[in-house]
Amino acid sequence: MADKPQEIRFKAPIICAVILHVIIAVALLVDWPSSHEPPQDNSYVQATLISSQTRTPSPSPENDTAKGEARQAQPQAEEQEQEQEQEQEQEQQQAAAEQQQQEAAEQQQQEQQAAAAQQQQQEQQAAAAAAAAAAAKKEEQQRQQAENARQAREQAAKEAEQKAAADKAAKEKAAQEKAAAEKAQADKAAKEKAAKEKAAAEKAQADKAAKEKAAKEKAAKEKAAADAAARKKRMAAAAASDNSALSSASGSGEKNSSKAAQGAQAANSMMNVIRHAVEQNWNKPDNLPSGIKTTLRVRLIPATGELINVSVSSSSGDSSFDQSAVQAVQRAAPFNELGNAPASVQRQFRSFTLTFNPEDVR
Amino acid sequence: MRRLAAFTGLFLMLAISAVARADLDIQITRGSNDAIPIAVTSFNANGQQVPQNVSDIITNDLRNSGKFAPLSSSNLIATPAPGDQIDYAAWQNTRASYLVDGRVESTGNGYKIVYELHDVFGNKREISANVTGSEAQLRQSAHYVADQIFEKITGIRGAFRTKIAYVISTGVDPNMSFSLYVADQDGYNPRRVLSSNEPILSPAWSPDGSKLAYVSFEGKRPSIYVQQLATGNRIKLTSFKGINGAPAWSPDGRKLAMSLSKGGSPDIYVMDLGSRQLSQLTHGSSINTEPNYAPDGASLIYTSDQSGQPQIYRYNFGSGQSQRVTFTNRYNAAGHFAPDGSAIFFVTRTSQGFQAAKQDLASGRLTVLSKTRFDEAPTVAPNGTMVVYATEKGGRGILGATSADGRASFEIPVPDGNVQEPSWSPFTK
Repeated sequence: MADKPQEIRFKAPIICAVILHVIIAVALLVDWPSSHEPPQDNSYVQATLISSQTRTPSPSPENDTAKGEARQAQPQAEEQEQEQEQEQEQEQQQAAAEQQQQEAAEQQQQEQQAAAAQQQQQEQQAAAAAAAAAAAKKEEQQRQQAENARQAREQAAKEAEQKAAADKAAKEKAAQEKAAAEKAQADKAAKEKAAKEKAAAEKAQADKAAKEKAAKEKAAKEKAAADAAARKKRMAAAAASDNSALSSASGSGEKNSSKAAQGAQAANSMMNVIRHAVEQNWNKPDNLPSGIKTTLRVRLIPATGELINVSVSSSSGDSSFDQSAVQAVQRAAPFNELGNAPASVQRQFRSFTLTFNPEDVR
Repeated sequence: MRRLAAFTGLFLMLAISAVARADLDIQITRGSNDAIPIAVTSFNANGQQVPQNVSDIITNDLRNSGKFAPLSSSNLIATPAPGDQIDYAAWQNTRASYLVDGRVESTGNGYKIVYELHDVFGNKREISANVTGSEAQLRQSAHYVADQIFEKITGIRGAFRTKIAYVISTGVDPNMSFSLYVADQDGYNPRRVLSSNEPILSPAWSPDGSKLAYVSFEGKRPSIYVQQLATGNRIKLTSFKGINGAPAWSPDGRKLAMSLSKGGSPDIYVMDLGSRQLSQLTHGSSINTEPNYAPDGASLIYTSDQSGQPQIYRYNFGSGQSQRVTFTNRYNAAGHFAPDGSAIFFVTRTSQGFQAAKQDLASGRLTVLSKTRFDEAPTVAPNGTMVVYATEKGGRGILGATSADGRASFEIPVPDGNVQEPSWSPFTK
């Protein structure tokens, strides 16, 4: 029940659409010739005139034709320019017909109209031709023959041209594709090159860093060796000076000053002994924030170097870090070397501070 | 008179400053990188039979952290019991900085561990305490003791009671089966939480440790699931076309970052778990995967091959921009943040092969941590002191572990099969 009105409702738009299509198709076809026709009509009319009165008014109307055609499509305009000197109604008609045929092939719906139009045009053509033939039969025949021949030539030329154009397009396309492929390849190569260069740079950097590290380590080792040697020397010197100082109790002013210098040297070497022992016994925590620092107050028995007491005098704020420092001193003690040092040096190490300030953090 | 007083004052000040100057200060800038020597006694139980060797559990925990070098039992000079007077001078001769002693007592329905920590060179008792639990909890109780000792000495929270999730595959294709396990961090007490005939990938712990997100290929297609560990209940979170991979929780547990290829190539997305709303962080045709949130939640790192090789990038939520983070080797992938955000752990390709590595974010310095060659998916303990990664030994997948300082490396025992995709839990409790 409800289907029928729906059917009707559906039919109406379809019909409308078909009608609209037909109208559009007709309009298109009519439009083609109509935009063609005004000039063509002129040219037809004039063509008939021309064909009878061959040479007189040809330039201006032909120019018009050319203009009209140029508006339509370039190839046609070109063709017409080539054929400027001759009348060519038929050819134009045929060309138009050909075009129509092409379009007809594209749009089946327009086929009938196209055929009709073609027929109509052919009829017109025929009428015109008949009129022309009636006017000048012989001439016409000759001309027709010549024209046919030229037409064939031109057709061949046109085909050749089309082929050339197609070839050119194909070539261009191939060239473009080749260029694109080359570009892609070049891009890829560039990318690979860049990646390689980067890798090389990275490797170079890593190598450099490794070399620098090795150099640093070597320098550090050498320095440590030098330090150790210097310390030994200083200790020996200090011991010698101490002995000489003890043996020659009464010395001149000059001797006193050299004794003071030797005492300073001995103090220095004692500092190195303590530093070395503490560093060796310090289980330095890792992942320390940079700038972390703690100061300990250390009290020793001067005669033996035994630890009386170690306490945090300035905390780092990190109790584990402070504790690791305290432990280092506790583990490093006693500092027996102090027992052999001059009394003046022993006095200096009765109480002193140790500042833990790691340079290589993280 | 006044002049004399002023003169005397000035003299005194000079004298004091001279004394102050004479006060020595020695600068200590370097230390030993050795682990701290520590003695752990046998924790005997007065002749009673105890199901677990508590002393061994504590010793292994401390050693595996890389921060301690436990003395071998042959170097122990005595086995003092809690409450005993300690002969510190004698212990100092062993060069142990610390001494742990204790005993295990049966409580009828469980065990009590009584323990003490001594500062050997400081001549003092640092801890004297006990912990009680059921027999099943005895291992956890021992780990608890290790946690307390570790934190007291290093100032770092112990992570010996945390868990590791991993996937074990068995059988040969096409007859393979996959199981998702949760075990103690030392590999004991493995518990299977999921089995499937299709692959299971990328387990990721929720920040509260109660849930695991993972990728499962049940039904032949990857989907992201979230499973409650206590109940086994789970939900399928995503099942988009293409890849649904690499889930990673935000630090607040409200979002899940993931890699989805529904837009073509795999990109990083973030899903709000409340609204299930997705936002896309990365675009483009490169592969972007393996997201991992920074501990502050302000950025995440991910792996991208946009430079041609996998490298780690950092996406900043504030700017919406990504920056490359790793430059040292040509292959760097599967990044995880250190819990303090100062470093990232990942797999790097060296001349040795694929190795677990650490990069300090401030300096950019990369340190290779492992000695193995086929490492993947490093995962970090919640206190940042240890890293576990899947690797290969004798053609078989195993769990390798290393301390974050690279000092200690060891293997974590797992059930039979190939182990993959480990994921370290957050702190529980």
